[in-house]
Amino acid sequence: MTDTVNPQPNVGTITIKKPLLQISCRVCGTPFATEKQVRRVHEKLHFSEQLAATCPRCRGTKFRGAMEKVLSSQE
Amino acid sequence: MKGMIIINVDKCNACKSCEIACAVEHSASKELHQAIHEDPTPRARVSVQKGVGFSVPLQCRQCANAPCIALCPTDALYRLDPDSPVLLDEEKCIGCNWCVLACPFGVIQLDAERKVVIKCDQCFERVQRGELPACVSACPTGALLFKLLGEIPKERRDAYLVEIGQSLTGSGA
Repeated sequence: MTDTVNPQPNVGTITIKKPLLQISCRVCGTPFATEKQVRRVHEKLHFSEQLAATCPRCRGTKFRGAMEKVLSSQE
Repeated sequence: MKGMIIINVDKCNACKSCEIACAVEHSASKELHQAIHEDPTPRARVSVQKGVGFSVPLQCRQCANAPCIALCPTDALYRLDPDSPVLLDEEKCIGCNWCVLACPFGVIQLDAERKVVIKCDQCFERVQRGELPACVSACPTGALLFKLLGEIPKERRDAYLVEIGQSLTGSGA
């Protein structure tokens, strides 16, 4: 059941608080998003399951690693 | 002026001048000495990452088919035209985090304090005035360059994206 933080919200605004279980990043193990969010990223953006289930921080690290690979292949 | 920020990794010495210049440019005062006292503290849209034997300043790559725009539920992220950088309308941003999850490069951050996202806009207003983006202008070694799209052959841009894509996914996709 959705629980409102403020039982008498200001006119025109509402603050909703609902605890949701997060799944862990496949790389570092840190919880970062709900299962539904990860599924939506995978389905709507056609990301691989691995990339969708990787947290933003690890994606940044992976991007840096990808650049390193490209640069070393150019040497 | 439509362009992109090019990174010359060989020249980056991780001085983080780009980070400071970016934060100051996106502050209310746009002056370093005043910006450091601002509340909330201005934050940089570029982050210098250290790799093995090299450093690289990473910021939004302004994807052609930007996944962050595709997932934004309030249209807070938008483009003025197909070649413009991805811009953020802070008034519309609700801090839902979808764009952070959508970014394949992990370069969009959420400002938890202000409940809005932080992303590079290539200093759109500066560029409109004919100036360089703040990070490019502050880089003392020329590791960051701002090139007009016409100056970079489309084939080279496409080849770079394919190389990065292959390295990220480990495939030819």
